[in-house]
Amino acid sequence: MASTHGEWCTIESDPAVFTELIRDFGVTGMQVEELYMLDESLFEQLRPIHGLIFLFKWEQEGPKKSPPKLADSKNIYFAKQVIHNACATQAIVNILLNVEHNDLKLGETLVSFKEFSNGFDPLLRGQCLSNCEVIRNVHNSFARNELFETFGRKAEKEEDVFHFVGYLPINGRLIELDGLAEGPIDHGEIPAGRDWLHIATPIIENRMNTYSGREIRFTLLALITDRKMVYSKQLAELQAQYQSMPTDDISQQIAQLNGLMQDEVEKERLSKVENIRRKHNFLPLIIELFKVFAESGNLKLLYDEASKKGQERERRNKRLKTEAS
Amino acid sequence: PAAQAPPVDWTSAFSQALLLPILSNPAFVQRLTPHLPQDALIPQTGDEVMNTVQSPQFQQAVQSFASAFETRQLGPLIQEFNLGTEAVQAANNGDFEAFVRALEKNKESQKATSGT
Repeated sequence: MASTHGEWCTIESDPAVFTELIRDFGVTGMQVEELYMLDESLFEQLRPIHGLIFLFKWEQEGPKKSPPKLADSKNIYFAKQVIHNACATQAIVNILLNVEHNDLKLGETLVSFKEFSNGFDPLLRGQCLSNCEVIRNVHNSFARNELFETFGRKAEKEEDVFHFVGYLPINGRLIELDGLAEGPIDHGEIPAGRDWLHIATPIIENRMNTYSGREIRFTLLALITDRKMVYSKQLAELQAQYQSMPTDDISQQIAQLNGLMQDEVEKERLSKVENIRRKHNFLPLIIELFKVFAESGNLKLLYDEASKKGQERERRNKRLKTEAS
Repeated sequence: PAAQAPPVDWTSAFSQALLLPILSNPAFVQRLTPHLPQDALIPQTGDEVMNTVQSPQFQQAVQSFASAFETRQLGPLIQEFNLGTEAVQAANNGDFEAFVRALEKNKESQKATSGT
């Protein structure tokens, strides 16, 4: 990508983007999924869940809160956010560098980044991250195609600015990593025997409620173990069980897991296709479509359809405005 | 800019119903597929053109294209596509209606020249 040296592009907050992003950093054993709700039945499907990313439209004057309790940051990797567009990568890197789990392999890039920056304070770590060329290049490779980025951005009134906040358990405490805060925020101890997700749920719900009523969009993403890895482990166990004692129940479970595995493979293929499309410059295709429509004699039809839809959209918008006022 | 222009929504205009007749013509498909992403995961077929055009990523691109066009930013780019001076003029004015007329005229003049 021919972007100016040192620049970070905005990227889409989509689980497919995040998954490929961390894999391109060299991380293995992990993927990112969207959580449509904070619900035990959903957690159950996705476990182990290593961290959550809560992202929302950012407003300069956020709701007034009492200053958060900062955590003892000695054993927490926390980098402050210095560049706005980098915040997606910043949030996921902050989480990844704090997860201690056998399934996670950080890979060379992040391991050496952590080694290099670990001794610095949060601000300097943030600066290191924003200057890390390898990480920046991967991040920028997910920018929407540049032509449209440049032209589209000027045309859109105000690009929505999103802010990303991470939640995860560190050393038995629930920690919030917000690149705009002074340090990692401590939400207290996770009582023995309790799942950290159940402690995090009311805190995040509370936060969502402060934004409800106002037109604020938010999304919740989860860093989880690579599903294919989880399934193949379970499959191996079941197959071993089946060999020593074949039952219908086990063979049914095996069939079910194989189905889940196939779904996951297909989902991964679709995500890859989506990401390929995100990076593609569609201008030549758009122009060629216009030409082909003209030559087929159907361009007028296409234009009429676009006008019809445009008028419908305008009427809808007007109606919404009158309803709102 | 272009405050008086009638509202157009190209995103939902490229509907299946309008694309099907285009994509049933192999000559058209052959002209469109080279502009799909070139990747082993993307089959170079008419079906894939349909999938692509219906995808949120393409629709986002069309939206950016349309808003850049309407705010009169695309003239210089349109110039590179050899669509004729009238099309460039329409792009400079952010006028989709004139752009459509120019493309139709362009097609006729091309027919005329290839006929002689």
